[in-house]
Amino acid sequence: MDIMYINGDLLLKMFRQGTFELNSNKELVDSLNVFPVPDGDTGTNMSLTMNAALTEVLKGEYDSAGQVAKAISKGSLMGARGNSGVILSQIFRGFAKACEDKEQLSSIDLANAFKQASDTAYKAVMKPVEGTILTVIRLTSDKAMEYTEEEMPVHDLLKILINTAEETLAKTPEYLKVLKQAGVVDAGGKGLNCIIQGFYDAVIGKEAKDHELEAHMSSESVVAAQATFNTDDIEFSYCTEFIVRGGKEDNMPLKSKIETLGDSMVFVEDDDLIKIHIHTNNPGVALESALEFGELLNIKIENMKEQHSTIIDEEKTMTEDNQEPKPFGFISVAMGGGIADIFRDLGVDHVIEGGQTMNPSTEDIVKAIEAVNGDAVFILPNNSNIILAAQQAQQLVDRPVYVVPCKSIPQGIAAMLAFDPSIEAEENHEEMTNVISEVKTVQITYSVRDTMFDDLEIKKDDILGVADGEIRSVGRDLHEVTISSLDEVIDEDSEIMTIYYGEDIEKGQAEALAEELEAKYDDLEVEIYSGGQPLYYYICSIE
Amino acid sequence: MTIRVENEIGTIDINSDVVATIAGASAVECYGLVGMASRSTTNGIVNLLKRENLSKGVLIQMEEEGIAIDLYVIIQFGTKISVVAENIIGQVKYNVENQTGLKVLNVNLHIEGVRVQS
Repeated sequence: MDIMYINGDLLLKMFRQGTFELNSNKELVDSLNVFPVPDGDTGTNMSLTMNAALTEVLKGEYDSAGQVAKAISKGSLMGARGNSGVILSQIFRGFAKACEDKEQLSSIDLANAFKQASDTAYKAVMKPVEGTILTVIRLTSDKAMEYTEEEMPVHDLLKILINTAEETLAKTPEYLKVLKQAGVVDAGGKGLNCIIQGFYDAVIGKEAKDHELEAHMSSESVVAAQATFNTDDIEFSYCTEFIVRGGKEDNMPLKSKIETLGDSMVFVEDDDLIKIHIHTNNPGVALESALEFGELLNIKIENMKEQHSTIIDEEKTMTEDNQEPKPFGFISVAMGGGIADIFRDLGVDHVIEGGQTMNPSTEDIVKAIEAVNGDAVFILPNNSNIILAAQQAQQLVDRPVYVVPCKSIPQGIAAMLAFDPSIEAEENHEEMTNVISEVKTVQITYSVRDTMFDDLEIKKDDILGVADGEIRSVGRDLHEVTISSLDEVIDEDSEIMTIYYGEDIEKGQAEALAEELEAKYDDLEVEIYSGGQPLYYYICSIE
Repeated sequence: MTIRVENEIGTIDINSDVVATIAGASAVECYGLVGMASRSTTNGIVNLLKRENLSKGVLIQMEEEGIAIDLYVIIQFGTKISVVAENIIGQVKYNVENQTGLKVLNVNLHIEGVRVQS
């Protein structure tokens, strides 16, 4: 059935579904946030803004689309949080202005409303930065303006706009260097795409159930919200994620095919890679259909019912865990099971899963602090991008929190080893901070895209040797790059080297490397541990 | 006025105008801010500054531990000023610290006007 007009009721549903869609992708959006300040809270802020606006809107009764739009505009203004939230409120303000006296919206009205939304959003900034949510709304509304001649079904228009918004989003790294360097698309833009997707879903009749929405509504704690969510309510059990390399001229048929298999789909095309994420009951079918388009990489299938039960279990143990208070608590951020275990062995109370490309948000850290037992809490961010979020979290809690500015896993481990329970927290923090500068870190990873670094040309999938944040060696051969970057860092004062090998490395391979290094450097003692980390083949510390 | 950073092999002097320009340039990229205002408000009239005078609406003060930044700005009507202000403060602090390596102790925002016309 074609839907030609949006009335007040439908607009409300659209907004509700938009909020739901954004809520469901909150963590994803958070993880993309590197600009303007890489604090990993864009998704949270946008979601809080939308939820506050929705709460406000649901309070009233309306008999025209214009009134609903006005309520949304007011609600989002009052509830605006963070940069993206303020921009969002301006977008809705413009949108509402355009439909002020409209009973219902035709596709032409909708197009004009998008245009006005974009114009209003641009007016509130002196020097707009392109490659952000602003670019996404502008190009999307420009596209909408091409369809103002003749009325069309609104879902058709929205479908077109979703495609434009996605294309624009994929291009944001071209506009904004920071995004390109981090290898992400703009977080706010992604959030906006989710909202438009929700609009479309609502028009074609999809509706989130109340409890699904409420699961995210409470801004206080996501974990608690998940606990109120019954495991049996998960409709699609398997969170399936994979990358297709190759692809055809037109990959839309694959998209439409996979879309039918479940919900929460993410479909991102980039050069010759297609990243697909879907919640489905038929992961096999999804993989089979994708095989027709290219070769499959990084396949990950997880049973969400299981994950969800673990979250609930964890929450239970967390709350039951009220033993007697101890003077110090420790939180560390790490990726990979092996590394997390090492931190736990060293006495870290809570390890937050995260690191490069997956920065935990300030909120995650605050939650971890609240859950940890200790009069004073030490945080080991282990990544330069996370230090800031940790420092923000520090200001949000009542307990004394010490952030040790360690930028890598080895630095974090060194700091942890330097901890002395017999002295005061203040002194410990000083000592831990001092010791991190004595550790040299070498990390061996691969490039996710073609790029330039200083004068070095780096191709996708090149192996990179990074020493203390600087790229030291680039090449195609893992072994060569590893040895040459270590050569640069090891000097006569180096005594102990520790290698944490990643999930893609066999134990034997790491042992061979250790032997070779010990033979090469007389005074060097090499230890190896299984780190199990993704992305990094080896993380080495040299003392 | 310069801000001096010393290390074991020499010194770096950063002119406070440089810091002011960085602060001004990052401020005008902040969402919700539509202009910098001249800080000489002796005659009670707020002047909206042109782009080339970015650093005029910015005051840099050196303190022992770091620097303090005062910004005189004009905000767009219809935005939530408290949140816009927080964003500007966060963004300016981040950019100045990131680009100069100086510690920013505080950023004080003075909202001198609201632009109503759309």
